[in-house]
Amino acid sequence: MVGVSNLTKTYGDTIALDGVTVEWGNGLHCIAGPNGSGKTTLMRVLAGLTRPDGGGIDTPDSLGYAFQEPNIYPDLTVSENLDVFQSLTGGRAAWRETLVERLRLGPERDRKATNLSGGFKKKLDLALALLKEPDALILDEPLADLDPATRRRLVAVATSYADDNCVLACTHNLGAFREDYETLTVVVDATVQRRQTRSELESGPGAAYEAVLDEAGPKRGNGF
Amino acid sequence: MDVTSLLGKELTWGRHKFVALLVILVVLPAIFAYSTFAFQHVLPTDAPVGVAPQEASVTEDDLNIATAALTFFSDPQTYDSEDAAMRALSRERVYAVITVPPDLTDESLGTAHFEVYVSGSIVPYQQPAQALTSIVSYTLDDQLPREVTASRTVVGTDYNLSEYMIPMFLLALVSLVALVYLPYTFDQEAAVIDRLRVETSLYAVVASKLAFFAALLVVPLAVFDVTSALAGTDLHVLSLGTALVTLLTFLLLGLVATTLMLLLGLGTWGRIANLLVMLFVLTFSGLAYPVGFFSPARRWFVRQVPTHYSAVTARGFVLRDDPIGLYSDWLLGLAACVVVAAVLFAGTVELYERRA
Repeated sequence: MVGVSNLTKTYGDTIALDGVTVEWGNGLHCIAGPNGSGKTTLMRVLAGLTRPDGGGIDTPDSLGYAFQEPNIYPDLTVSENLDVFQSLTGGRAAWRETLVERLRLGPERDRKATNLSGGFKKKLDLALALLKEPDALILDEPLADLDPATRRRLVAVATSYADDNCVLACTHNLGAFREDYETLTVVVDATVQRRQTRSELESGPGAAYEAVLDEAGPKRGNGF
Repeated sequence: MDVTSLLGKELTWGRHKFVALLVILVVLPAIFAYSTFAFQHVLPTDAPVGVAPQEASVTEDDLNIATAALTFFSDPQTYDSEDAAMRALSRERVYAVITVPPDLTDESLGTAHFEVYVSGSIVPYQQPAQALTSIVSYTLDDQLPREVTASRTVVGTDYNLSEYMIPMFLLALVSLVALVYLPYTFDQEAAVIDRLRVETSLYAVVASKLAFFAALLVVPLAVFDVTSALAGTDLHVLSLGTALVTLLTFLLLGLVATTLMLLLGLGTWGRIANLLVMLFVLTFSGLAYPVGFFSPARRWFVRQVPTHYSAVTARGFVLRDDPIGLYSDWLLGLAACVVVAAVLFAGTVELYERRA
């Protein structure tokens, strides 16, 4: 179970989270919202990377985080990156090999992370987040700037991991997760505007997000 | 023209990097220029020297007469005993010790002999000490009813300038590692700092870095020791005292460096700030020249800088093979500075976590 209650966070005069209350169980949960709506702040608070001004947080002891900008040692090889975080988190060797195989990192083992393509950096970042087999996994824009094949692979790994764990995917790319997610949480203006559960998915993936954005005003559409 | 356009770009870039350019083009030259004016005299005329009685029968009047005569070309400090004065010589509080014979004003007695002791480890004061001995002899002979002679005795090994520079290079290297290389590696962690914060803590990250580089410093200590031995010198680089002062100095500077890096956001500004701290340390620790060569104001200032005590103790251990106990108060002071730096680091981590 991952949840927050009445969570608040401000940066100077900017309100990033305004009394957010939400919880997620096992399964894949998407979180969407316009840029600057507070999604990433919410994820960072859950991971303990950002301190909230107030409110309660309920997270499991073991939590993994795959970052929008891959957090990897650029001067170390793929294997060395895995070594460092396996040693740090106590990950199992067999599980590490499973991750390497499922994310197709094997051929890149000896390549320095800085020389990897964007997709492989993302995959390595995900592998590092999953190394300790966390009870909850946060994916911050996991599919940004990825080619379709890499997207499918990351989605497949994330959805299968969500079978027994809580996976929160903060993303604009709802279509890629299609019917795999349990709930969609829409964050707008620092608050949770709407939640869409699996039973409401008949109206289509991301319908709640669409509806909220429609309500937000006539700013969308072709800007030209 | 391309060049004109690109020059325009450089100008725009320069406006964005105004502070960095200010540091490089104004602050650093000012520091360099100021440093060159630090040495007021080729032969310092106000260097502190100790005045002590040669035996118990020396009266306060005898000491006062000698002290008054010495005031013209030094800053005499009176000590109750020769031992106390020699201790001050080892700790570089004075650069020479002049022992005073009794009954200076008793004409019936024969020649009054003054002994000028200088440390063989304070190489920059060797020549001034020779001049001092001549001046002692000449001036006191002129002022006292008794005939006066003075001779110079070098205490400990009489080192040359190359040997004297070894502790200076050692501390310069410690400063370089702590204030340039450590911040560089910490800067490299910026790419992965959030993951490290998820999986562990900033305290663990910095503690591991400090432990790693502190352990690595054994290597230059060994290199200095081996090269000194090969050169046939009588230095004591690989000693417990040298290792202790090296460790404390590195921890102090390393904590300052990582604190600045966190405070300024793990990037270029942190590294520039640390570079300035290194220049400060190199300039204001009295690494090369004894502080007695400086103006009184700067002498006072240098004695407030913790790394000045690193410099003196390092010279004491490397050149004089002094016992650790001679500097226990200063080593404890350095350890206290490390604790204060650790507390400031912890405060900065708290600030960093709040701002993240």
